[in-house]
Amino acid sequence: MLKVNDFKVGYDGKMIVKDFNLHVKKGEIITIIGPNGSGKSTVLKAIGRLLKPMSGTIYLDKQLLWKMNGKEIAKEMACLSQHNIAPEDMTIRKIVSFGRNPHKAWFEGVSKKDEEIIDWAIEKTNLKSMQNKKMIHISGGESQRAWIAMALAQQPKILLLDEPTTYLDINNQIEILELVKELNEKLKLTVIMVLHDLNQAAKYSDEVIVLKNGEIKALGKPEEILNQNLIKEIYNVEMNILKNQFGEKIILIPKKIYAKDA
Amino acid sequence: MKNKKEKRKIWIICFSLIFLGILIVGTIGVGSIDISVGEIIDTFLGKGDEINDSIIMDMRLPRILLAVFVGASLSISGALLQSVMRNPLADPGITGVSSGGSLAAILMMLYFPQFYRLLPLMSFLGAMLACGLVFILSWDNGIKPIRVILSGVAINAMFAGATSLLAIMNSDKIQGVLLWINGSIAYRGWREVSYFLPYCIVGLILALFCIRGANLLALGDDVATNLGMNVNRARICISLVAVFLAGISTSAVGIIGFIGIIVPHVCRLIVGSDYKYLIPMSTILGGIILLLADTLARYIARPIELPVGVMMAMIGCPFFLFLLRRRKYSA
Repeated sequence: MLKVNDFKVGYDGKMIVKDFNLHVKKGEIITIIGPNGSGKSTVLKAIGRLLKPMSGTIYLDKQLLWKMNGKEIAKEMACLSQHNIAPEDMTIRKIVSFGRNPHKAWFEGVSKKDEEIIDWAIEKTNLKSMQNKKMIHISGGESQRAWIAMALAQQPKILLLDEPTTYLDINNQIEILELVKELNEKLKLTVIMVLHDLNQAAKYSDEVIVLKNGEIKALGKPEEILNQNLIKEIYNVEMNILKNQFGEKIILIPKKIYAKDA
Repeated sequence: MKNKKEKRKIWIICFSLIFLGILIVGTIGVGSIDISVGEIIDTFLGKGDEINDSIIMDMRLPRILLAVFVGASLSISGALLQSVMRNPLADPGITGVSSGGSLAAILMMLYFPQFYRLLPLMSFLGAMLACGLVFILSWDNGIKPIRVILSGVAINAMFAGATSLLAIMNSDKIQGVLLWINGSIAYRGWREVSYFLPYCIVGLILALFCIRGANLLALGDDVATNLGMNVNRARICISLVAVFLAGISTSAVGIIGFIGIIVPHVCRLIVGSDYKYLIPMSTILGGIILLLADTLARYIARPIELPVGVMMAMIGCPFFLFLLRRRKYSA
């Protein structure tokens, strides 16, 4: 589905992520975790072609990403940044309707089929009752759902999300993640996201990628790779790890920070 | 499938257009010499007396047309620049585009008067140079709003300085230059209209093609890229249209400030920030506002004429502040 080979990504000639290789299968949820500044968002942006990598290749369904035109990519893959700002008087529905842009030539208006897809995306994200509300009048969780609905209206096969739960309360965080899981299961949507919360990453992902200083330190099923040594190496935090309790495969409970020179 | 609000916006735009039409007819009669409606109709039917004919046809009509189309051009230019630079304060004046255009126009008038007909294009080139410099100076991993304003101020100062230098070096011809710097629609006739209008119509049509791009850019670079847009190319294309409109306007009337900020803002308060409505609304309201300003400028202290730029500030700003205070985002 998506293949990333020997990725090097950075800003202003400074390399942030190196030797990044990834092979994503259809219908997987993959989460990138790692400390602040580890390059999580950078690499996600590069996969979502919001940032040009310094070297390396991405293949999307066996096509070289940089050879595809922008709208072609947008029909296959949607990428949402952490923080999106809309003109404040725009309604949720208007925002969602922009998701149809990749499917339209510049002179085409919104067709009946587009309206149906917009309705569908709004329904999937539980925004139907508030679709005519303005972006300025809705909460952070609703706004995040509106952007996800816009991404859905693109009808992509792959969804990239950069920290979709940041700035949201726990209720909204879970709502968003449950939505992602549901979209993944029902629509076979492939998801690559960046999360900070290790437990959420473990619960909602088929595979996690652990990144530090721009290098992949571990990659695999969360319950198999997340262990005390790895967490110490990555975050310098002592972690209690419970397995197969409360119906979760793995639960991580932070205990304390190791002394700096430990 | 249009909902009620969208229908209302279309009605607002239609009514504004009708109002503009009434205003055009109404302002023909106003000036140093008042002409009654009956006399105006007589002139158009070809039965008017010679003096009225000449005042209406040779002086007022070209001037009104210029005011309407320059107002429209500057307003759209402001609206587009605001989207491209993601900065609500961007307008042809602040970003140095107008002063670049006017410097080029003055250079041309002073040293190559034989190419007068090419004035709008020359102005466009000067405006492009200014805009390009602002872009280069404010580029730091993308366009930063605050840097746009700062470099705009610097570029503005630079071009204004160059303009003053030209004025001093050519003190014998200074009158025309001064008129230019202050921005005035007085003493413009059919010659200016005929040089300006074809370019203006091309620019206004091009602006319609910018609607979708401007809307996408307003969502931010990341979202626009995600939706398949080539952000840099769109930014350059839309800027070119904006600079073109501002450049040709400057070539016709000199520098007129405020209108590029005020009109799009007022329009946002009235029809919202969707460029599908914002562009037509800005076109019409820009025409209305500049025509009103110019009419007042020639009426208030008659027979003396005030610079239209002063009038713009005097009627535009309070209106803008009033709407902002009410903060009625009715759209």
